[in-house]
Amino acid sequence: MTTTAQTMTAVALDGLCDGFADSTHQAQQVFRRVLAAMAEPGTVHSLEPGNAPAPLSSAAYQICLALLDQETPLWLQPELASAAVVNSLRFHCGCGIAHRLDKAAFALITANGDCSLAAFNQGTFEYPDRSATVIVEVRGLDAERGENCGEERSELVLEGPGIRQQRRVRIDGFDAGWMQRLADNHALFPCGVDLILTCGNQLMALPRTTRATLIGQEH
Amino acid sequence: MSTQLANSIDAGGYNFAYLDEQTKRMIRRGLLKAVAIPGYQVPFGGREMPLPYGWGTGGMQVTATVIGQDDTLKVIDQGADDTTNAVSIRRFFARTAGVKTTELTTEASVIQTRHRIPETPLQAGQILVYQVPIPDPLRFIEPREVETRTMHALQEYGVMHVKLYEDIARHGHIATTYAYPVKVNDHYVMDPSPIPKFDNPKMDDSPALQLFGAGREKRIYAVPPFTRVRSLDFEDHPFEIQRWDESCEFCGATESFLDEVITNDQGGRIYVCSDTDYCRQRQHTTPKKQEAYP
Repeated sequence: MTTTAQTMTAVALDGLCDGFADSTHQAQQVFRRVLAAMAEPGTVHSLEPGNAPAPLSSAAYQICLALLDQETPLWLQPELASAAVVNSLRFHCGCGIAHRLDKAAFALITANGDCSLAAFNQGTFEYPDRSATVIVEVRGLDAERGENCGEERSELVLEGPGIRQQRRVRIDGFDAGWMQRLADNHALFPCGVDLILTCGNQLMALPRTTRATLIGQEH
Repeated sequence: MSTQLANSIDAGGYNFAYLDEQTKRMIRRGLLKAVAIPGYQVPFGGREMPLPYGWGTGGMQVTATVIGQDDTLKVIDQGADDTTNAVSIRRFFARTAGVKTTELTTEASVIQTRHRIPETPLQAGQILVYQVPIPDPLRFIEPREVETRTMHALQEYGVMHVKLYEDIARHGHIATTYAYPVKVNDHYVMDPSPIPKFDNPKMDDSPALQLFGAGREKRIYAVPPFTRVRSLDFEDHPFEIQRWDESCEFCGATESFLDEVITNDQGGRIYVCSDTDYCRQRQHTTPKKQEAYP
């Protein structure tokens, strides 16, 4: 009996990563930063450094630990769906893994995937809050304007609620295709998904209300 | 595991800030959606709180969900820190969450309010939590939820203007003085909670995050910082706030919201600031009025 249980544990928890040591307070601290990010789109917020199951960033993992549970099916882009990620999230959050994009309350994707935002649950006109929240792993986040920005490091101008006039951000990995996805998503208001961008232990949010334009292409 | 439990559960046997973690997660997800759709009412699984509906159960659930160990909480009721409702709620969180409390608007990171916005301008990073009785301004006109949802979805707000027009037809001016409907981000019409219309302009383009909780009706909504909040009006009857000819008896303020206080049965009355913290700060910095009331 004992041997069987041990074997099952070993198989089921392959690559298991630590959860929060103090779930009550750590979940609250992560939530407050996500709330601040969602309230002021384009601001970059740092979480406490922590372990994460590869290939997930620490920020994406902590957001999942803070917000997911048995009520929130999660969809994982295949590149991110390692045994370590799936096992860790199922063990600590108890969330189900969605097999269809439109059934997911949360989704984890990477910026270089070709995942269309329109495939996720967009909510309805009567219940726009039922739409998905999509966590996007990007290569870099920067709230300030820098000098040497490479070709792929797009500089964006953001406008909308939570932003006094305009805010400039640089998101490493957002190409022209992403600009189109953001524009299409914004046009669906009040429906549409909300994005949380993560990189390392940093995060930034782009809710559906934010209008984003590439520098040099405004209006 | 035992250390974790010991850290989050205080001597009273309750979880940190009273609510259980699963409820907080549910409300947190709701709050994020509420912020992403300014002015839209997100339904949530409201819990029973250890005080009756109408005493701020919605606001308390929102506060319990956002508050952390490092926060400083201020609670006001009609602007005052020392009324029953404010004192009870402040004590509740001091006991269940062990957080620091304050009466100073400038010192608080989270402010829970019933029926007022502080006179002292709010700052970036502060969170204002409103207690809301009836979250839908259309409810008094259309009792069916299915209908009002469709009306919000289609921005079918003509009836709201008709209601204000009826005021003009009857009284010659818009007689609505509190819970005056606003339009948020040019889309959703929202109930600002029963604050006096005097406070409506403070909601517009505020640097603070504004969260609203309705416990009995089980709705959460939000206004992010720097968001357009416009009070409904007409071109020929523009929105106006209350003005007083009198000034505060204690601090002499003429620009704050004044409460009328009856002092005797000879018709004697004085006017005092409804915001007690604002009044106290002014009394420290400005000379008192000469004639003290007997």
